[in-house]
Amino acid sequence: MRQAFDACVVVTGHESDEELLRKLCGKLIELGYKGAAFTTTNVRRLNELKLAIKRLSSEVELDLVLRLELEEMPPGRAKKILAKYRRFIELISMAPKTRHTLAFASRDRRIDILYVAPTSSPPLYRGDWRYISSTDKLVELRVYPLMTATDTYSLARVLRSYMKLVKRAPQRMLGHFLLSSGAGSPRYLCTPHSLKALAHSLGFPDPGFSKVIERVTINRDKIRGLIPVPGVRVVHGNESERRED
Amino acid sequence: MEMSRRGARTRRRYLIVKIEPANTDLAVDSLETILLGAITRLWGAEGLAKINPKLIYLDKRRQLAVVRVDAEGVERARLAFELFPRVAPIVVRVVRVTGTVRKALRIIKSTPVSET
Repeated sequence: MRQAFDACVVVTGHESDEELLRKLCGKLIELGYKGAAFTTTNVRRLNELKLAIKRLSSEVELDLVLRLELEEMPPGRAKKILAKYRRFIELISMAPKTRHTLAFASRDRRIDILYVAPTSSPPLYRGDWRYISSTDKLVELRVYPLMTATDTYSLARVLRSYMKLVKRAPQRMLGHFLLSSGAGSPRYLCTPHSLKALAHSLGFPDPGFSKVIERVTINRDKIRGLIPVPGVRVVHGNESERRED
Repeated sequence: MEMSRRGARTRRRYLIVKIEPANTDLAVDSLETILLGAITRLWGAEGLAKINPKLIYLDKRRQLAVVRVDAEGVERARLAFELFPRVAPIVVRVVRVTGTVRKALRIIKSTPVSET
């Protein structure tokens, strides 16, 4: 697959050592990915992880991205974190568990991805979908809960919640779904082809690799100052062009 | 339940699957049971009938196997193997899909032992 991108490879607090990251990168390359987003919920480890990713990017042929996931928290606290970290982090997502937080997460344009946990997430209403559409967010589903389901009944429950979400989504929003592995170790990573097969099986066209790559590119341009405000892009012409002007 | 019309040839595909971790001592029977279990877990008996899997070759040295499935069931089989619980002793990943068993075997034979 040409543009396979795993948008969520979870790096928890203790395991952000470079050895694990290296193993994950090796497996991602073996499975045919072109890029991945290392995800953490711990804001204190962001700098350390950012440095590790920078070092690894020069070693491996993968487009590595740092992603911060905001867990369930009051919107006021989320706003403070967003104000502090948005200009350093390439992707920011939120995993809401209450209606209040879900409404905030779908409204705030600094959040790129809305992670819908299979059984604990509140339903998305028409207004939420409208906000998601206007802010061009992605709605993420993960394979990890499907892999860790111990029995057939719990697997069916997770699948049912995903199918319900996709079925209730407006037709034009089916392109806003994103499938990622949510893996915390190389064993839980899955192939891009199987993500595509799951997307088809759930009823949306593709796993959203191109959408998330586009989002990362825009955010990188924002971090570099090439997009100072939405709708404006600074284009640097080369010296010869300037002389001609 | 739809059945193919009489006399029509069933189109098949051959999945080359990789067994992880390496150095797993697996018998053909036990691998077949695991594969069938994975499909039944996700798709049930009807899915199993539609996919119609059969383990036709196992290379223990390279930890690769060839599984024959019906052409319509390739995506289903791929998904079932991928979503099989990772707490199980082995992980099965589809690495390649071919249209003939000869091609599948050729790919397996050309894979170096150290690579798997």
